[in-house]
Amino acid sequence: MDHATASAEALAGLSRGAPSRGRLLRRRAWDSRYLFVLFLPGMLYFLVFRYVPIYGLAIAFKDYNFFDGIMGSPWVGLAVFKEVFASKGFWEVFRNTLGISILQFAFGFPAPIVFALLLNEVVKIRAKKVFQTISYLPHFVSWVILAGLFTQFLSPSTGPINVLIKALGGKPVYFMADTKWFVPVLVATEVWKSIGWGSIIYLAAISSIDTEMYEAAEIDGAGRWARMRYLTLPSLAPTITVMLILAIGKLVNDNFDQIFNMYNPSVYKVADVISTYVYRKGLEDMEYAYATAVGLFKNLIAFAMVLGANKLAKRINGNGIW
Amino acid sequence: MPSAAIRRSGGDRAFDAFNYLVMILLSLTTLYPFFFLISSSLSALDVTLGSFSLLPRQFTLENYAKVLRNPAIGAGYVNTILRTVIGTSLSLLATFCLAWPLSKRSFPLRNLWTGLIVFTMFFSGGMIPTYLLVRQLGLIDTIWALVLPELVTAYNFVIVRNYMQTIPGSMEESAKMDGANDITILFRVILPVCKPIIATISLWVAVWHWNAWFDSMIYMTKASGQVVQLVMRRIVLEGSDQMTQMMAEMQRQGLVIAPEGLKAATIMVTTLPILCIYPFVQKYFVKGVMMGSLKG
Amino acid sequence: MRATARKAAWIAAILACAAGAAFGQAKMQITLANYQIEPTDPNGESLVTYGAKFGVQFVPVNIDNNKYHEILNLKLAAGEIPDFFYLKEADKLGNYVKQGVCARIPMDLLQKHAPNMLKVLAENAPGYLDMGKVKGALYGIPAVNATNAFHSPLVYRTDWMKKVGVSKLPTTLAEFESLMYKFAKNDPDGNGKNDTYGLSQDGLNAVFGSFGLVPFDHNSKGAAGTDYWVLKDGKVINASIHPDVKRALELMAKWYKDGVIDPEFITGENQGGYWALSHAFIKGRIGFSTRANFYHWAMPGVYDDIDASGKRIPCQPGAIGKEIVAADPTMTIGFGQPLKGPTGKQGIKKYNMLMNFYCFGKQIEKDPAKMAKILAFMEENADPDFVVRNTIKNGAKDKYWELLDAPTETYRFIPPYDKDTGYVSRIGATLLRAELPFPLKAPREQWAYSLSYNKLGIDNLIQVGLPVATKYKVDLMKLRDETYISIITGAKPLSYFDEYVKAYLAAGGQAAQEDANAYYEEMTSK
Repeated sequence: MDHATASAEALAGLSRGAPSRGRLLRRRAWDSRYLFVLFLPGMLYFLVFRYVPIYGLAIAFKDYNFFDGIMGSPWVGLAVFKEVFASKGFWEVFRNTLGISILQFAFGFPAPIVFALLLNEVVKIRAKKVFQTISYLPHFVSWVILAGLFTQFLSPSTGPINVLIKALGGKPVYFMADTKWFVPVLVATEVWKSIGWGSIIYLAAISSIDTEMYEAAEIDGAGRWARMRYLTLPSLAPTITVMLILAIGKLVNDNFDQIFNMYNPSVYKVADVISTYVYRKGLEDMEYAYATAVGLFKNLIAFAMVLGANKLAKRINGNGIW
Repeated sequence: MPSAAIRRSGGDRAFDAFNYLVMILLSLTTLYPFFFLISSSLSALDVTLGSFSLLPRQFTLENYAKVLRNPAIGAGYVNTILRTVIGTSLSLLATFCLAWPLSKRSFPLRNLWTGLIVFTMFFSGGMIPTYLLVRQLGLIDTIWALVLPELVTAYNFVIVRNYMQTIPGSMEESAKMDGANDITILFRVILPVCKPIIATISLWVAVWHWNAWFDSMIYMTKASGQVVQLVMRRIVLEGSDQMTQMMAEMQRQGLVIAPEGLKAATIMVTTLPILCIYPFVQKYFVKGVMMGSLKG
Repeated sequence: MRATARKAAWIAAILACAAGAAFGQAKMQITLANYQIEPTDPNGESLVTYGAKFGVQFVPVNIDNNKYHEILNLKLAAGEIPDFFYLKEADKLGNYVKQGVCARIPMDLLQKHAPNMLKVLAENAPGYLDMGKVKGALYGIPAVNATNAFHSPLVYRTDWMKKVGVSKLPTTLAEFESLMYKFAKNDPDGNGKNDTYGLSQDGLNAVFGSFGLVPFDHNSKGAAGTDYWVLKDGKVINASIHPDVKRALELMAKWYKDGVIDPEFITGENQGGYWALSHAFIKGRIGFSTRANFYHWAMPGVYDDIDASGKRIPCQPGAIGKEIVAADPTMTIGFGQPLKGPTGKQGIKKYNMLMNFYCFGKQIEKDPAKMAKILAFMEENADPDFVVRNTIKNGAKDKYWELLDAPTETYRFIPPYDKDTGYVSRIGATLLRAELPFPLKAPREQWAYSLSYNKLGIDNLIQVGLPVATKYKVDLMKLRDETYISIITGAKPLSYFDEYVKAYLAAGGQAAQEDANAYYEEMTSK
């Protein structure tokens, strides 16, 4: 206990100079002594496992080689970043990443919410449980297997979709090799794969809505639609806000497993993304510095976007991630 | 439930019909890959890809028998279950203990701490320094190498903390009046109302632990320490990479590759157990709504 | 019984020796990272046996072969450099040397401790040892895949040929073209539907080959593939920008337009699972392929194998042969020769024979004693006696494997090890392996010789990775793939090829080419 208090005092004194504020903090710290006991192990974990290794970021500014190690390799300043930004290849994959992510966000973010709302309206408990369980199955099938299945499913000659198109007199579409169609395929399959799994957090939030409110709504004669629109959805607002902010941080990320297993050279123009590009480069060239620099650049953007989104959300409805 | 059915309006009925249609269609598509795997795992004939039928070609259980006879699968299972159980319980404990103080406005320097944690969501030192750290801590070849590095993630922390912030302060205050300290309050008052989020996070963490293999590949240097997903990966990937396969065939002529049916059976054997935990946590997700519709 | 007793005494003697050595002084430890199917037990039988034989303690460094370079790099970065490690991807040697983790291997040490190995390499793969040199110093001993001396197979549907009235396998590009058109247009499967094609992605190599070129090869998903270099007017250029490629692409664009090339050639003939399978061929979409190796296409009984009693028996089918038998028992196939093209060239793709490199950790550069021990077990792999070298590779004879026929060096694994491919790694045998290019004498290879598949394969002029070429490889290959596909499918006109060559040279290709020429001159000047 004493230890916790002492460190809190030390920290309090360290960060704020004014004595009156310091005393206030000290007072608050003493009141929070039990909370400190809960807090310390977790924070210590973050310091040891997340902050101690952070020196690895230095690789992005070094001419890194194994033998000299991270500390011993010579500094090169921003040379690696210059190399990244100077290459035409990088900007193309950066653009593709953003394009695909934004589309996947636009469709993939609301989909689990809609699904959770609809599932919530399934009256029969057993049916609800069955639908929910089945919907999350694809989360457990890896993209290696799914990619093979989709390639067959979407095949221009034998895939059921194209068989249907042909039966209706249309021209078959080569979904996997057509630059116009490949990105929609990526978006649709990703939404399909994650809709059930993604809805879990919303179902959890729905389950904590006070059931009396539903009863009151029903007595007031509110229909299913109205109940969903005016009761369930607003109760989800805090959860949606947090998930939205976190999702915005992922806009510069791409789904390596999905794209790597589904793409081919004819759709490189639209589907080669940062992760696949850096992977291929790494395979050929063992470019640790390059990969670290790209990662750092990406995460700086993500960090800035999340900060912005957080501020905005706080202003709008008072919810934020901190 | 009967009473609810009687009072349903026409609009509600149309809504229900539409809703069921959506649910059934979605379910059919999400079941498809599983049917495919099950069907090929029960096939004696090596089903050439593309000539897929819902029914197994020449029904057999031999694929499953072979998988279960593989000693590496059994040993891998023990490790996987161990890491999942230890990892999930410790992760939950650490995440909730950390999130509770930081969900309280009165906690000193709360924004600084939260900021430090959120920062790690975006910036990490990468694989090499983490490996060095784990090695320096002497965790190599111990279960802790699989448990500690991902003990608390900023992502889960944020979600839990925000959930806790929505809990009304009144519950806590009445407990304080009774002389309870913050630790008692967390375990006696707060956690019981956090059940849905506990269920969610434990599902996330447990599934993550179950599916993880790369850390085992790095940190477990002995065959006896490897997780089942790693064993599965080896079997499933066999023959798929040309470079590796050309080498394997150079080293052993007439090499027999695991048939697709055996690979499918391996996937089923290593995936089914984790699917089975869902119904156990599921009750926490549907509970609230269930009561509402029951009473309707 | 007596034999067992003698064996036991033998082992006891070895153990006693080993124990003596251990008491005398701490035994030299040698850490090994090599090809593995499963992790190795530190007390694996092979490690213990050969450790005793060479008076050292072999310590396995288990690295999953599926992510070999990723994990190896991690260990290297953490300063855990194995004393002996192999490079799964041979073209990375230059990079690892640059990273400062490989030891120089003195030639005199090789001559002293591994004369047989040098002899085997010099006799059967001349020039390959030089590929392990970086700036004149030897850093890697090559693993040579002798099977890759045979070129890609040219496989035709002979039952289809009969249907369309062609009896002779094509030998020229013109004959080939005519047959492909018949496969696509004359309904060779007789189902009344226009649903067959001549060839798909892998078949294109036969066409490029008839111009003496191998402009592309994707050997692993995701990897950029192998660079093929050729001589043009005395200069080394990348095969992908050779002017004759344009003529081949012109032909392909025409075939594509006429429905002779499978429009799904872009996603490839293989649909997942075992890499060698051509699903398009097996399922009767196409009538010609060059996928994988000749032996994958062996149909049951196409050559004579040897059984446990030494008798000649019809061979088992290869991986593709097996699928064909299951999918369509009426299918028959024939093996053709590389096509003669309009420029008088004749050839087809051949995989690089250079597979891997064996390297020594930097820390033993000044430790010739340790190097000598490593060379000693490598030398065992080069022993003239087949039994000796197969014992270090596959474990004890008559326990794990038995010799069926000494002259052809045919052996088989004893049950249950015939089905248990992983045992060689568990006992540590794979860690002590060095693949050397001994002439292949087994029935399977005899069959390939009878097809003359050891002739007319197109050799890659430079098989090692060059630093500058590697740097630009990913971007350049992306450019190449996009160009080829868009020209073949007609999305871009043929003239786009000239733009491609310019773009290629501008995007680093020029520098790569200079690098290649410098290397080539250095290699040939001796």
